[in-house]
Amino acid sequence: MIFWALIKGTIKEALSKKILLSVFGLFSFIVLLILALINLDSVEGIPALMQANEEFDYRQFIISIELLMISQPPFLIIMTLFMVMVSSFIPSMLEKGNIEVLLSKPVSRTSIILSKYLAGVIIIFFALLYLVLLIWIIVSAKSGVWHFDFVIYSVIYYTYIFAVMYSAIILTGLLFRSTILSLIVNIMLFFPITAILSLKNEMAQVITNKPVMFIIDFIYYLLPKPWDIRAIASSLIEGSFTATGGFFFAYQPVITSGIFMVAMLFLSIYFFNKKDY
Amino acid sequence: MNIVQTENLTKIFSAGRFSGNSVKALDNLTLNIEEKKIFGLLGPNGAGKTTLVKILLGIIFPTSGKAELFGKSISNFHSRKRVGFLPENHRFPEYMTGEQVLYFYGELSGMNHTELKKKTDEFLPLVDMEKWRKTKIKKYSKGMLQRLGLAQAMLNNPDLIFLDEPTDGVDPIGRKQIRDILVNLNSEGKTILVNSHLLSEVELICHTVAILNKGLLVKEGTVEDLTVNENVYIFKTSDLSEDLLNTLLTQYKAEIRGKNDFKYKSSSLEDLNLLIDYLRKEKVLINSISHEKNSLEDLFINVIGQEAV
Repeated sequence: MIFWALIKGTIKEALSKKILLSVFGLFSFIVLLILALINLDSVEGIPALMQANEEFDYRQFIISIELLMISQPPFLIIMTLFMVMVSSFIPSMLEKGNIEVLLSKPVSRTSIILSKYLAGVIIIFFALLYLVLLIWIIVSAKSGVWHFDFVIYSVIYYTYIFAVMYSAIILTGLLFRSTILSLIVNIMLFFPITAILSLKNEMAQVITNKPVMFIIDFIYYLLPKPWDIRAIASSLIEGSFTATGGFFFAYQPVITSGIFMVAMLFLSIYFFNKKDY
Repeated sequence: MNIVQTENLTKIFSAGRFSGNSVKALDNLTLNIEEKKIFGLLGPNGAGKTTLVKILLGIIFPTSGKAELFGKSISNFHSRKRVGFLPENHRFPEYMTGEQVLYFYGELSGMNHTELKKKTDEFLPLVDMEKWRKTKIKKYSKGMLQRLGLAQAMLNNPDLIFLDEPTDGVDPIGRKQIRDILVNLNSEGKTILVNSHLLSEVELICHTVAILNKGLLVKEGTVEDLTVNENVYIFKTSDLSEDLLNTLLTQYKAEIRGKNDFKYKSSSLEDLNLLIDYLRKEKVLINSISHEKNSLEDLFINVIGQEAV
């Protein structure tokens, strides 16, 4: 019950700071925009026209439209927005006068961190579900192609990517006690650092220096891989994903990012349990 | 029974990660607080009062030594289940209303919805905040926040309440109300630890006080014992003649306060009895002899002044 009270408190904080409402407002605007676009006269006739052509893979065309909506630019914007949303949770909790009351309650410090983490993930899960589900309903209703994999994989994988990034936001929030500083560090980590590192294979073709490539490899495996996970999600939605090289190799970005997430949470809990406030 | 126990509690703060300097905020502090008492923690700024409270509540960790609440180690967060706390300059989430603040912190103390509703309805009027219960606390004055903080500290029906400067920012009438609430809580069997600079207030409500200075416990005892001046006696008598008053003034070095009231200073009981014999011989009726009492402020200045020297 106490753990749930902590989660509820964080969700209320997100609601009260109007960030959550702004994000839902923005998502609603995007959905309305898509709805308006789809109902344009010039777009109206496209499905019938395309379905008339027997050689044209209409279903694949609709899937590619769905993929476009979760492609790299929207991914960058949405994830950055989510990071902004949650980056103040830890620094505001650590404010002088606030943390003393919180720590004086019969609650373990581990529960406090885990509840903040879980609350952030729940908020983002529902925000994503709202956006993706509405887009899916609009596109599917209009096209007649009900491709539920789009909802499943995009919501699960994007929530997972956020969960990984949020674990780093928690740790930096505890270390720096500053929303801005924590946000800058994590946005830098998300873009450009991990974005560049996701091009590791392309870099290997250009960089011949082995020690340099070893360092790049090392950093790549050490840090989360949001861009690679996004690519996996896209392949799964498209139906083109094949686990060549075995399960670990195919899902390596998901697994190593999961290890990063656990390590970040462990360090956060350890640090919070040792720190004087 | 001791509800709070500390043994050789020491806290050293390092001034900076690389400077190598450190500050000893608490120095081998051994202190016991009896249950059902109002305990005053006094000391100048930087004496270690807040550090002690924060250690007891698990907000900071001791460098060495041990401490217990209700016989449980402070490292066990369950020891805080029967505790209420009002920190100095507390800051509640500004987006909440007064009522929401109580609900939130009450839930964190393990209270269920029925209890919360009952206690919120009971304590908000008690601290004179009933009409502000639905108002966001960002609109509250400092005094209102203090009253709400007090309600928050009492909400879970704690057996031990820590109050750090409870009347800070509160007007004189509000202070009186808060004092009355504390005395009332104590009469219900609650133990209260008050950390305050307002010595006159501490003197009015506390049974026992401890004075800390530079992390050390320099004085501890009941207010009664600490404020009594053992070598100075106040005599209340029948009317004294001019001759008698002169004798008292010159021979006994008494301080005349009125026609039937004087102060006599002596460290020996024999001298005191000689004076009584003399007064009785002169047919003076002695109404009362009592020790002179200092104020807590006098004691505080004396103790801290001596320490400074």
